[in-house]
Amino acid sequence: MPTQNEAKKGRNFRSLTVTLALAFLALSTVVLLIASGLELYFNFQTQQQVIVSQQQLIAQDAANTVKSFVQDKFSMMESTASISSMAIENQEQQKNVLDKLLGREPSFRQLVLLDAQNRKLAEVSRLSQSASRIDSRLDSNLFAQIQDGEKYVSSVYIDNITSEPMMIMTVPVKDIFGDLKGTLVAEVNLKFMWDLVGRIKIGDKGVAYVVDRQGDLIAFGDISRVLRGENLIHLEKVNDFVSSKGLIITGESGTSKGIQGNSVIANYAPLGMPDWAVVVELPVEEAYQAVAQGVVMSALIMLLGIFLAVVAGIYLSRRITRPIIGLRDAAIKIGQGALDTQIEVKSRNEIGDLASAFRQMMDDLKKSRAKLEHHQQELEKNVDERTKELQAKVEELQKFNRLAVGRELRMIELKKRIRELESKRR
Amino acid sequence: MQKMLLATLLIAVLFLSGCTTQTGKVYHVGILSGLDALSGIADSFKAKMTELGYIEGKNIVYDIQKTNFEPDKEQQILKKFVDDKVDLIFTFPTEPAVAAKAATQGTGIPVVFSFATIEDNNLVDSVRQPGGNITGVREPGPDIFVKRLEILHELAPQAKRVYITYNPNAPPVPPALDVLRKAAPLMNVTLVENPVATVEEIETDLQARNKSADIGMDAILMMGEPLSVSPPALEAMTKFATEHKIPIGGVGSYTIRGSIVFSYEIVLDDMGKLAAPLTDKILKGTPAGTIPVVTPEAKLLINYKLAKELNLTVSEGLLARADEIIR
Repeated sequence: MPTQNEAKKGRNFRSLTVTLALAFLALSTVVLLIASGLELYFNFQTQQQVIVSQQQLIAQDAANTVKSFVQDKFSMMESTASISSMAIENQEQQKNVLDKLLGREPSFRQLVLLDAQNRKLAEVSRLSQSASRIDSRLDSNLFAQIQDGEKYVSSVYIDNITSEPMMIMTVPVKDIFGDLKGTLVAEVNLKFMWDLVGRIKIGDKGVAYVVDRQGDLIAFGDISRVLRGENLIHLEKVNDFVSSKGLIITGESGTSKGIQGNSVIANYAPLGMPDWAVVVELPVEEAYQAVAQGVVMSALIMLLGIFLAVVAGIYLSRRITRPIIGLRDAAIKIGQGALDTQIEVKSRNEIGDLASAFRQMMDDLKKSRAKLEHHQQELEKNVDERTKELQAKVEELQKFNRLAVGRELRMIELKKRIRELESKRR
Repeated sequence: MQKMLLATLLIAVLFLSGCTTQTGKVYHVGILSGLDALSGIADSFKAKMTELGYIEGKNIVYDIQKTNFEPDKEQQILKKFVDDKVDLIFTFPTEPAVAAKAATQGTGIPVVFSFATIEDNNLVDSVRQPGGNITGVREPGPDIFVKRLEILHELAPQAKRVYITYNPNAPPVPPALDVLRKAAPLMNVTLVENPVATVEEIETDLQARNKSADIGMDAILMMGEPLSVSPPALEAMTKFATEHKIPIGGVGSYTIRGSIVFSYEIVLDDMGKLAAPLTDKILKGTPAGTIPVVTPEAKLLINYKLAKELNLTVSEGLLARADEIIR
């Protein structure tokens, strides 16, 4: 079909099939993109809220764990102070009780019993007498704090020898009438809290650590960091805690730099008493893992969607253009005179109508051509007849002519005879 | 369409292959155990390392060498470690640690020590910043020697003359003597000191005392330095103590716990266990000199059975404080 090829080679020719397929693809891609984009956005929003609330719960939980460490020590000291009637026992018995308390709890390094006038009644220690450095801590500053007969936790200080964080805890010792008779003082080695904090599970790779009001690290799974006496005030959440006065937990959960230098979602929960905060951190990658998975999933679905759109686009555009191509080819053949060309289009739509109209047109064309031929034959017949008639007439005329001519000749002959005869007579 | 499929597949394959990258680094760690009595430290160290993900033969190889208070052999082993370019040297107690620090000078090989005294020997700059390329688990410091004397005094207050024998050049000894000599008079206790250079000298001294009318001591406080805790020295001292029915104690919970009335010292297991996380950090790239030295806790063992046999009155308080009691 030379015409078709010529048409295809035309510079401005653009296949309808391709145009339709592209249009379909573009349309579906746009729809898919908008749908996936919106889904991702809302997914992200929800996930972020989930992460924030989860983090808060985890931080609170971790805070409770740490707090219970301190509360445990308090309740041990309080029980000892009340059950053993330390306010009235003699010094040896008092020391005995302190020994037992020291034996029960490894985190107590030194225990001192003071009377109501803050004089030392009994003392036990894991260190030798000469090395017991708690005395320097038992100063007017501490006494001022414990004067009102309440529980008290000192700020954290670092032991010179071991570089381990320590603190002083005190509980009032009261007699059966509730009168203040003295104070039980304990020096607590906070390294026994490290394991506890190190074991707190924050997701897969998250960490928890404890800082005091100055932002000094006092408990963390990596003990080297604690022993180094690091101050973490440069970390956003720690700074938040240090600069905040109250016990409010912040709600927002943006990314910040974590204790290990990575990007994390962090949150903290203040303990109240003691005045520390537990910070929990979850690496960003882990926190947004679900979102990342969602993105990958959406992308895959989108790819699949685009793939389907391509298939469907090609199929549909073919379906639309095939009858048109059929009609076009038919038209070309008809144009070349093949009026018997079959138009194989059975669509029940506008194109179907067009095909029917085409067929109708061809039928009409055929009919009018037949009529024309008939007329022609008729005409020819007439002409024949007329010719024959004419011929007959001509023949008749010729016959007549012949007759006439014969007579003429006889006349001539007769005339001649007459003349001869005439001459003869003369 | 096929191209599209292929592209999708390709992306998927790339995505998956990105997840399975692994470094095949195998660490070589040289372990030098400087005292047979302490060789258990290497085992607990390895056990903790396994917990931290270092599987022997897979991603870590140990070269375990043992000496028993033999400085020359230590030097040879350390030299071999350095020649072998091990990734790290783990060693204990103090003497090989000091030797390792010297041997690795300038080689970049980090050293992790355990059971080492850090007083008076320049092993580390400070607990927080050890400096150089070394860190580790220390002995608790000289105060523990005084505490042992106090416990002995509490167990046997009538024992006024306390015998101590030691190698004066052993690293923990000089700082310990400093504080012991100050503390003893406060308890009304006289230290009967016997500085020695060899185990034989201990044996000779004890034999001489055996022969004299007065043995010149009421109790023996063990110093916990290599020479005096070597098996023959221990044997000589415990035998002497048993014969004369005097209390002996201080250290020895992992060797002669049946013959001592008490010990106050670090659990051997802890010495290895605490060193493993430090090693892990160093292998992961933290400079050893910036990792603070770890201080373990001492545990109190009371041999109540022996104390009763010696007619010592063990106070309820002391028993309450004990981490372990032999009945």
